[in-house]
Amino acid sequence: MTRSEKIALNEAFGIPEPEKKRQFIAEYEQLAKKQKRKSISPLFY
Amino acid sequence: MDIEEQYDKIYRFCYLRVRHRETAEDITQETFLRYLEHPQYHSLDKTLQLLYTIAGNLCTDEFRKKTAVGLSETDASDDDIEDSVLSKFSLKQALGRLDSTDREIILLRYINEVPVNVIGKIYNMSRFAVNRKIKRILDELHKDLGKEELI
Repeated sequence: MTRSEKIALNEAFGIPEPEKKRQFIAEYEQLAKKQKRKSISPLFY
Repeated sequence: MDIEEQYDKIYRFCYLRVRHRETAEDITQETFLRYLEHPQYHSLDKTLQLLYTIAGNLCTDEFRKKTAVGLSETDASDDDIEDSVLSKFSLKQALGRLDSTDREIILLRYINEVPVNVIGKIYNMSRFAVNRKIKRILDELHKDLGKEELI
């Protein structure tokens, strides 16, 4: 499929742009950072 | 994983199923939050498979909720929504004549650029079967449009 066909196909689907993307991505990145920081407790001390 | 890129792709996939911008966006966000609860995969293919599986299940749940509420409370019939999304142009009309799974596969492969093997895993098909299906859908679209190319 050519690039112009892909563009036409994308337009033909007529999907509106998301509106809350920016805000969510900022929140998601914070959450993902927290998730990464969680370390597994050692079984034995 | 590039969240910016995947957000748009998952959103498109959800929108195609639920046909409502806000609902599609809510499901997209829920998909990413649930994804965080799973172990992170190093392979992009596995990550994509997990994201689309979560999104697909959430869309199905949404559909069930809507069915339970009753069709009378929805804004428009499926046909009306279909008409509003896929109208005016012949390619839109040709896409509208495809069944929903075929339309979804075209979106996944050519708009979201999901690898064939991942599409196979999402729909429980071999990659050969996916390739055959894509060829059949494209032939159908070409035939419908009466041209060699889609535009």
